[in-house]
Amino acid sequence: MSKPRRRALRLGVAGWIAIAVVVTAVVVAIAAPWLAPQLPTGGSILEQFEPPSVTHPLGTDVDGNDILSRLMYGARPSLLGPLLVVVLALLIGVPIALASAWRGGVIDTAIGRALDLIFAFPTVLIAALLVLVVGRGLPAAIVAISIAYIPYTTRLTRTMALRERNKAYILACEVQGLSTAAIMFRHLLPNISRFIIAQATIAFGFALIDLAALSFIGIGIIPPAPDWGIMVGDTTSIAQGNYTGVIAAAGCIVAIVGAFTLLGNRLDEGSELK
Amino acid sequence: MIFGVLTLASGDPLAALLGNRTPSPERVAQLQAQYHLNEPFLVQYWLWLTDAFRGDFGDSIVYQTPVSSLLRQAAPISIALILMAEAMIVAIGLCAAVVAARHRGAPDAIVALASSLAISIPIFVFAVLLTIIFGKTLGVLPTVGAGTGGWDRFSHLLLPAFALAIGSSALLARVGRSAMREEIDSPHVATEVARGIPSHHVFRRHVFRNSLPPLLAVIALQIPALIAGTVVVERAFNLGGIGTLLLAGVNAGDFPLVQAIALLIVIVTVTLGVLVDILHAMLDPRMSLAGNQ
Repeated sequence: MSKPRRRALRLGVAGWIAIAVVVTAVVVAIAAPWLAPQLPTGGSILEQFEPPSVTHPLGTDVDGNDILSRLMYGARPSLLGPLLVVVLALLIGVPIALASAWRGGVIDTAIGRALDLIFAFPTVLIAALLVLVVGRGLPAAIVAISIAYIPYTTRLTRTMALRERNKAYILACEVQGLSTAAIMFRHLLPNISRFIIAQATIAFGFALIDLAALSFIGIGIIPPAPDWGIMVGDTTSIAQGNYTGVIAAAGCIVAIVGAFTLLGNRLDEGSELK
Repeated sequence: MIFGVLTLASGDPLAALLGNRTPSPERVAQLQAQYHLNEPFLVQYWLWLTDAFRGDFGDSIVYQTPVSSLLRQAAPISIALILMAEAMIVAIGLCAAVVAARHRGAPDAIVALASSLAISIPIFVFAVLLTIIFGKTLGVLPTVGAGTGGWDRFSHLLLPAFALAIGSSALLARVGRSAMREEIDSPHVATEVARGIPSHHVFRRHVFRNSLPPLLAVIALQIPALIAGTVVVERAFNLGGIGTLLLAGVNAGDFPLVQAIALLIVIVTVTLGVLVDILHAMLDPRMSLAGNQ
């Protein structure tokens, strides 16, 4: 008997472009100190809004900082932040989901209610309350978005785990007397891992948007640190008709989010066993 | 459930009050009396809860006026914004869904492309692009402030509401299209068409109605995002609504103000969710309000 095979991952041209976009962003983020022509902060206000030149390929912003350098350094929090959000939300969400799916009954109901409660708090509100208590910054923003994402990761994982629960291979494991932990970690999780990774990839894109939105409204990353959300929210530049930094940062966000969403969907298409 | 929400929202006002200022001892005593900070936590909580029920959220620390009067000034702006956005979401989303579902080929492809673009562009990017295009380049619509009076308010909120609506309406268009397509391809619709019932009649009475429940589910799921989006859009267009107050409160450590807004937002989110559920049950008799009967 042949083993059931997963459908191969079909990337297509768009998928390869998406991978190229993500790889480029990661390389730029890591190598920012060597690639960037200038430092991202500490510019002189005397060099405000300079047009593109050899020293400033995209010109300078309202504070006289090099826009290209800010874009490159800005890739760091914009990629690291969502990564931490997704990892945190999975680390907390997946165990809760498995407990919920396996125990059922009262525990399942209680967890469901608790998730509903979190769901009643929009991300911005969680961030606002957290910032009020612990102060503004990247850590508070990451924790706030992670909390807001736990209901989503938990619900999706629980649904998937429930679907697998009554399949023959799980029942076979139970008949053999394997412990619950062994079934979950050696049999269930490997089988739903691709689905979880697909959802995490899509969530990465949303987390990037939410994180940038928090910086945009001024309760995320603290200026003048380089960040794409802060760059899009540069109202002074918009009011003065200088859009280069705003448009470039917005373009970066949209490109990365689009790439992650596309890759996540491609992964999801083949996530179930044939 | 509400109890849990309130406990969370109560937080720790003492830390915030003393965290960012160094007042004289008399001022500390006065503040403590004013905000009941010298009482035990549960007493504080009870005082806040009973006052909140009467619509009294205490005084704002930054503005030194009652929080309730601040809310009363800001609320009409946010409510108008959300209502306009929701109207746009339903109008744009439904129209696009109907067009895509009824006309295969080019119209369907255009809606699919436009909606995937709209979904992957964040609200704040839309807000900034609209400001640049309509406010700065074309100069046809106001992009700062909320305006005063009927028409002025409406024109000031047009771009913000559109920025808020575009993402959700794209999602609605997608879900609506596939729900309607499923109905169109179903046997009961084929039977009606075969019986010679006019196609617009079949569409209105059978396809459209049957595809409403999943659309309502999407609208319900989008409510927290819509409220979060309001805060972002109010900031982008400097509207001075509830979201603006929330940000001002957070940045200044104004605990009573943020508490009140948090409570308000949670109540609005939950209430809207329940309303959509009721509507859902009215449209789909299989969905009982009591859950599973």
